[in-house]
Amino acid sequence: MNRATRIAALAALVVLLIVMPWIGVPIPPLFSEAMSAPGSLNLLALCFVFGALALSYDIIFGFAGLLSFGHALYFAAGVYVTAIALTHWHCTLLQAMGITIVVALILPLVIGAVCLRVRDIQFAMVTLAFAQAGSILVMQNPFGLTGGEEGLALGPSALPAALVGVANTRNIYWIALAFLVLTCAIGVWSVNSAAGRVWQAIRENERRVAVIGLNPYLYKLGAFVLSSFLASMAGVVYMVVEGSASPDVTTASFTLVLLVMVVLGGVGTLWGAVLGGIVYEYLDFRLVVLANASGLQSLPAFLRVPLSEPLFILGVLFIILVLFVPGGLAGAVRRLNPASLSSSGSH
Amino acid sequence: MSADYLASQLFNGLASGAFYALLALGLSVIFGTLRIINFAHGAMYMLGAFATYYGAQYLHLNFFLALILAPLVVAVLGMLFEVLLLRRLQGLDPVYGLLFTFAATLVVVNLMRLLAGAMGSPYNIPDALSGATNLGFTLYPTYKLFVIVVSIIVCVLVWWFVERSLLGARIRASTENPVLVRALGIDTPRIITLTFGLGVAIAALAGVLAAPTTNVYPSMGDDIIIYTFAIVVIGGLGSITGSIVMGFALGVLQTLGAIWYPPIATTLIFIVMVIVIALRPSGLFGRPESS
Amino acid sequence: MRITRIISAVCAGIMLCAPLSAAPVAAADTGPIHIAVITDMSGVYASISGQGAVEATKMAVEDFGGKVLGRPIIVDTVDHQNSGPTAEAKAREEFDNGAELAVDLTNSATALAVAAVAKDMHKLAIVSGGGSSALTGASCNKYTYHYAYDTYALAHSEGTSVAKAGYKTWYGIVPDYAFGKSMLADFTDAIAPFGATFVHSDTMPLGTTDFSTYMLAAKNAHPQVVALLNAGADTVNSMKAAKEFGLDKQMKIVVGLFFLPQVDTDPALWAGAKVADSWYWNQTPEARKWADRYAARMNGVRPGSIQAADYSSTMQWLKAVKAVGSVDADKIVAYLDGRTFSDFYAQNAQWRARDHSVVHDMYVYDILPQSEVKERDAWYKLVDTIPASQAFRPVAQSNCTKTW
Repeated sequence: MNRATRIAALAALVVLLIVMPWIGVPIPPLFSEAMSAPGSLNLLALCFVFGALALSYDIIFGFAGLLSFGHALYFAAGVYVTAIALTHWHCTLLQAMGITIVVALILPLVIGAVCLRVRDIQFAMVTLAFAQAGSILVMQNPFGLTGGEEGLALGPSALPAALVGVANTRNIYWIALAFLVLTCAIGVWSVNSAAGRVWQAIRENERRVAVIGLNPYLYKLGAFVLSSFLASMAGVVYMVVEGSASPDVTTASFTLVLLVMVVLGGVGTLWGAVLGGIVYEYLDFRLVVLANASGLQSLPAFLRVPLSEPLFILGVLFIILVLFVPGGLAGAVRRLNPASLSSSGSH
Repeated sequence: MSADYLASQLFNGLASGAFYALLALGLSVIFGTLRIINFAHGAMYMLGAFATYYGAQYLHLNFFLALILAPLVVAVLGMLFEVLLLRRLQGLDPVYGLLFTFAATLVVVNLMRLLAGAMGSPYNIPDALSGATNLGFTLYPTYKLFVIVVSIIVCVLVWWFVERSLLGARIRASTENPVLVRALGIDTPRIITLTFGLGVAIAALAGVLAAPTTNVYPSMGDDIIIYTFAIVVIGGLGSITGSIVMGFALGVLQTLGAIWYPPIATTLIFIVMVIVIALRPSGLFGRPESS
Repeated sequence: MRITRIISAVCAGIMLCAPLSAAPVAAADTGPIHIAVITDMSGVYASISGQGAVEATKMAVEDFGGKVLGRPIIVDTVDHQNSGPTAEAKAREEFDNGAELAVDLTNSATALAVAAVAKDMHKLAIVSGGGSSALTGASCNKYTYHYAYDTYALAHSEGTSVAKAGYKTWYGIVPDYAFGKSMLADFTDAIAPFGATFVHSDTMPLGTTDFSTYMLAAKNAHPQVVALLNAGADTVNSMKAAKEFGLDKQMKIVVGLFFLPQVDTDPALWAGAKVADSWYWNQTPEARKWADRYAARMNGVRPGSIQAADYSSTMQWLKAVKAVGSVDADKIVAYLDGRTFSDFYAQNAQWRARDHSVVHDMYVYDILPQSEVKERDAWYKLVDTIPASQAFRPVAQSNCTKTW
């Protein structure tokens, strides 16, 4: 496909998604209700959030080559800061977003500054440790802010009226869609910018970047902050879609989920990550329902029981991806060939 | 606060440090040869405890035999894992070893959950080691003393083996320059597999020692492994001495911290880690990076 | 112009499909009525609830005749995997697909999540498994009843019983999350009238597995009672450490949250501990009769209190449906509110209208050593009965903002 066709197809897809709430077409096995029904729109909105979140992760992991094992922390920061501002401090949504933006910039700046003093595996472990500390903090419910293991639920008056209630699901859906489109734009722009090219150079050979007089540390910090910031913003939208914050989003397994999304779609390709996020979230949501379906219930126990363990499936899926998806991981981390480089950056 | 009381708490610290030291040691041994951070280390620890429990349940295996047999069994499983799966990751970024072993952990832990239930199974302190021993200043649980002693013996043996023995020299050489070592007629892949087995066996041994003090449950390795990672980073990645010394030291520090202010107990190790990384990124006992 | 062509094709597609959206989803009021047992089928709570909860609910349906209002009743098993969001998603799906009642809801996070869905969708949830007092406090709602126990009732039953026996100095082992903190507050409250106090309590972070430090500290403080106000694996590990340091020989050990099926895993460990619960299968002939029928279906395992509560609550709901002649939650709530009853599970019980707490007598038990146990699962000895009015939070202190 040439560039014009691709842009046209993309535009058509976006238009189709924008008008989705008026389309009553049912897609029976894929969605339990018509596409315009609140249930379907809600699921799609969640898929969009996770598509954007996976993209944010791909920026740091796929493009800058930094395995942050604590990406959940920044998503969770977005979710919780918004939720706390809305429920405890009685902010309006805009005020809450303002507070979250400030936190979402400072938090990764400080943590990144420390973590980026080490690289490779130490970096992964140190980011994991910070995320773990964040998870513990949320569970401890400091000053009664986070609600501990019960999480936080938004009251009916916490959000603007246009975002509350089943009838307004379409507004939430549009917000999620707009956010995804905006994130994609930022993602494409950033990886194709001068800084984006330096990130990829660092991924290939950090020393070479240093030799030509650039400071890899600052570029890595930039990638870290941008990626984490987008994750936090995804957290804000998630909060609006879900209406509640649960400590599940702070855990290391949640970061692994993000990794699976990115690996599923293809490391180092933005559209792949978005697709991975959308497909994963969709499957995650629908499989929960399908696990109860009569077909699965009639399977023998040794098959049915492991299939109903989401973490088991996640682990197996990841092992298969790492071992068998041809070239996926190896090629992605080491280098991208010119063909895939152009496909990753051109839309 | 009396001196007796503090001394007893010091022993508590050494006892929890004994587990950290063993786990960190195993992690370092594996990292030293494979350049892989074995996230599945916690799962190996858990499997060691379960091997002990099932051994007692079905084979009436006593604790002292389990201390030898369980690590062997788990080591064999570990070596199979290395030969069949981990080996395929050679040549990839080491980060994939971490990811892969993390995924393997999820699979193993959740399989054990299905097999054994999440609540866990009880395993009691063997009669010969129950009760308390008079330390002169206080009575202290015999079993905890046993854990400290076993851990110190194993740590010293492994340290000597890797750092001082001929075989250890070969292991180190296999990592530094596999081509040259192979040219000398040494079977590098086998050495790597056996070393992985050794690391796993040490983790499983820690699991056997843990079985009587906590319930044996599938997620028992999940928390401790994160602390162990932090300890390895503090000690210096790949440094055997660093792992052992910091394992015991941080066990004691954590316990003293817990007396002073309980809520800080689990975060203290991370705080130390951040300080160490800020001041000396290669860790307290690690060699500074050449770059 | 390719772009315009594609867009117009999309628009044509929309036109084609639009009429389909008008198809309404008819509410079936002649089909089967579903009851969803939403619980933990394979995790930490599977033994205290799990399959047993499903079986108990099915027994209630069978005993009732399998039908109500001429419609068959189907019991659905829903595994929430101890995740709030999963519970929420599955509850929505269940209520959408014909469920009129959700029961069990073991683990507070899932109970609160489903309670919110019930409120949203105007369907009934009866919680027996989750223990958070928030269900009838800050998070109370019209469509959720809290049936078996809450942290307030446990603390007040056990605290009252032990403190009035003359134990004045207490030492708390408290996990650093909502459950632990509310247990400590409730226990402190409960023992105060008898002149008893917590001389000290250690709040330990989540993920603590080595309790030696705290047990040694507790021993060093020489209290009369050590209260383990934690749950699950933490309780087991802290009890092990307590025994290792010989605390059980010098003081009373009180366990805040405990269920009968837990004894089985390690009888020697629990012997001598004191616990509170809402029911024990061998406490009355009626209870025993039901428990034996249950055991016959569950390979001889006797039921715990949550499973009995699931049977009892399902039966109460079915009777209400029959009396009202409708499954409509609003009508059922109107019928149940304020109603009193007693059955094999709940003595002197009332569906309290003020906060939707279902109050009944609570009990305090000693766990017997193996040598005194004559038959399977007969671990408890009843030592005290706390009347409903003293066990549960008084209406006057309720912090439920009643909005219905």
